[in-house]
Amino acid sequence: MIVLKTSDNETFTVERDVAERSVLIKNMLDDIGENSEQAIPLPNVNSSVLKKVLEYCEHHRGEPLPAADADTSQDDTRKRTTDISEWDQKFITVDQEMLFEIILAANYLDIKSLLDVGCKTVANMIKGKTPEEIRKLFNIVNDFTPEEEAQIKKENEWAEDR
Amino acid sequence: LSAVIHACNPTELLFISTTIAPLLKRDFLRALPTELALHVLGFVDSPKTLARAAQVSHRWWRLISDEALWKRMCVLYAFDKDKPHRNCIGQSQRKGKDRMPLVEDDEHIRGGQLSAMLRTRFSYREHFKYSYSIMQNWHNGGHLLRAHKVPASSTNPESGVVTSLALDEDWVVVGLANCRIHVFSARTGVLARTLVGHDSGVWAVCLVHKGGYMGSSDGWGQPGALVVSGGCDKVVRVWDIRSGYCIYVLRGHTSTIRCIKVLHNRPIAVSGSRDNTLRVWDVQRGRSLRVLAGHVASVRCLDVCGNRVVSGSYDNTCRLWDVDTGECLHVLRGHLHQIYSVAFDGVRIASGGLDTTVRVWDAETGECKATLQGHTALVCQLQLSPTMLATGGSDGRVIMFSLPPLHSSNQTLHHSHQSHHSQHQPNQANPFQVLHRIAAHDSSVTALQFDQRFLVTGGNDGRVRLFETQTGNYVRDLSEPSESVWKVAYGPGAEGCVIMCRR
Repeated sequence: MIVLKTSDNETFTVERDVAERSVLIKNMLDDIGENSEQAIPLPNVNSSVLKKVLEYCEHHRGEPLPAADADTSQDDTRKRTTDISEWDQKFITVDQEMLFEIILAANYLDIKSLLDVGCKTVANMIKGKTPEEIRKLFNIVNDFTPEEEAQIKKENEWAEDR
Repeated sequence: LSAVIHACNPTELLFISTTIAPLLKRDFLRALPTELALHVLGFVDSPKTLARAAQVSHRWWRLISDEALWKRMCVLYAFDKDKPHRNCIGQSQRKGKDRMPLVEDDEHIRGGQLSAMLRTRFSYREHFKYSYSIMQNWHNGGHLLRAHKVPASSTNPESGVVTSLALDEDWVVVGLANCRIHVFSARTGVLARTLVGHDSGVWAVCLVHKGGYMGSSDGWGQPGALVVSGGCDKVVRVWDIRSGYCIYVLRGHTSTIRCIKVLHNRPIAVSGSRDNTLRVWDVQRGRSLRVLAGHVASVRCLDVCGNRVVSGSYDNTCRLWDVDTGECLHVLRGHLHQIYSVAFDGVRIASGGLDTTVRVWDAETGECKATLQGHTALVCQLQLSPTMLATGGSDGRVIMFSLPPLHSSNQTLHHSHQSHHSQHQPNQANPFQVLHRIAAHDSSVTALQFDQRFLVTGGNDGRVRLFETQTGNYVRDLSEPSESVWKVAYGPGAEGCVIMCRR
């Protein structure tokens, strides 16, 4: 069992193979050796997010991890679908704040599949929306001047269906 | 906090809720580190979504200007970076409009550094935008650039018939049965020259300039574009496009010239004639170099690659020749009737004719690799690509066949010297599969051209049809129906399409 300590000083005790879904934790464990009783500090993750992340790791334990340093940019392009499995879909149905935190945590903890699920979810939220709908969805202020807005609209007209 | 909330009445709660809701939203692309924001955008496959997202805010606009994002989109949509198109550099200086422009105006980002950068450097974003616009235009846009009429003489209504067509990115050259050759600007569609000199109908034209596409050759770095032509008057003529002047009249053939090609990067032309021979010409010096004799009937078609030429004849054979020595390397026997079409890519030869079959030959060994069936009449149109063979017939049908990968056929070549069993390898079992069988026209297919995206066909039924190459799905009819279509071709970059028809 491994002990993880969050930014708000809560500790979580988890099985090693669950924790090792995180490449960051796996590398740390490899460095400090087998028998350390010490809690692993995760100063960038709070307890509510870690709880969620561990739920994901628990569900996906035992699945093969992506190759360590595989530069997959080439097939990535083709493989990158926006499909999200049913369980992941349900898992990631959270408010924007939590989604944001999960993406940051997945990036920090180096859990590629979770990072992708998070980013795909954001990408899917944008899909098919007008600029105004996107602003509304994410509470974004339109910081273009009317002239800029008109020019950028014109510049991007090529992609609209005619 | 919870005590406060419990003390509130519903109206107050509603106020709190609507005040807080927007605060719980996140501008992900602003709040996330740039590399993560780009990772998110990397999951967007639709240019429409990206283009709309670019209009959200400055931050989003800047992110979506990222070149890696558009590079990925180019790969995703298979917009080949090296594919020649005239938009890469200096489009803004160009006065002429694209033939299928998306919007009336040039769509460059005006002013500022970006525009200056785009003029001097390749941009994936611009490349994507341009290629995507062309693709969309093929699907549902485009406009008629210009229409020309050739007056048919009252005594001979056939005189206006178009017999031959060649084009590159600058010129469209059209040979007519009325002895004339018309040269149009490929950019504006304007008739630039009429080449007058042939005494009777022109049957073959080749354009020597650049692009090396559809009846044109790359040329050898000669200063101006040339046309090499031949026809019923048995002479080959070499013309300077700019002046319209006929530089050479090359005599030798004793009957109608049916086909002409010019080698890439060399001033060598090859002509095929009803006198059963092919002739090789130096079109720079205006000399006959040699006669390729062997066929025992009219030479109907030819194709060139490197210093090899393949001829198809009414004697039911094809022959592969070495242009430099005049040697006949192979006689390809197998067809039962006259041959009307050949295509040659240096490795494979495809031939089709009156016996309704298409044969694929190994250019190295002369061996027939496949006999492809499916047509019920004369096969008159052929085009080879590294992975596909398209055939068109008098039955109105277009068939796309898959071809074995080139490297493996090379291997087969190699092994065939030691063993004759190579063709029994399981993966070589039947690499020539029918991909699509398209009932394209009600009567003969008179023209056919495909690239990796689109297949365009023309038919005697007066229609020009557009299909998707990969699926064989019908997209739409290009142009209004006419009485019959003689020739159709589109240029490198697929920016415009030329249609020759009788109305």
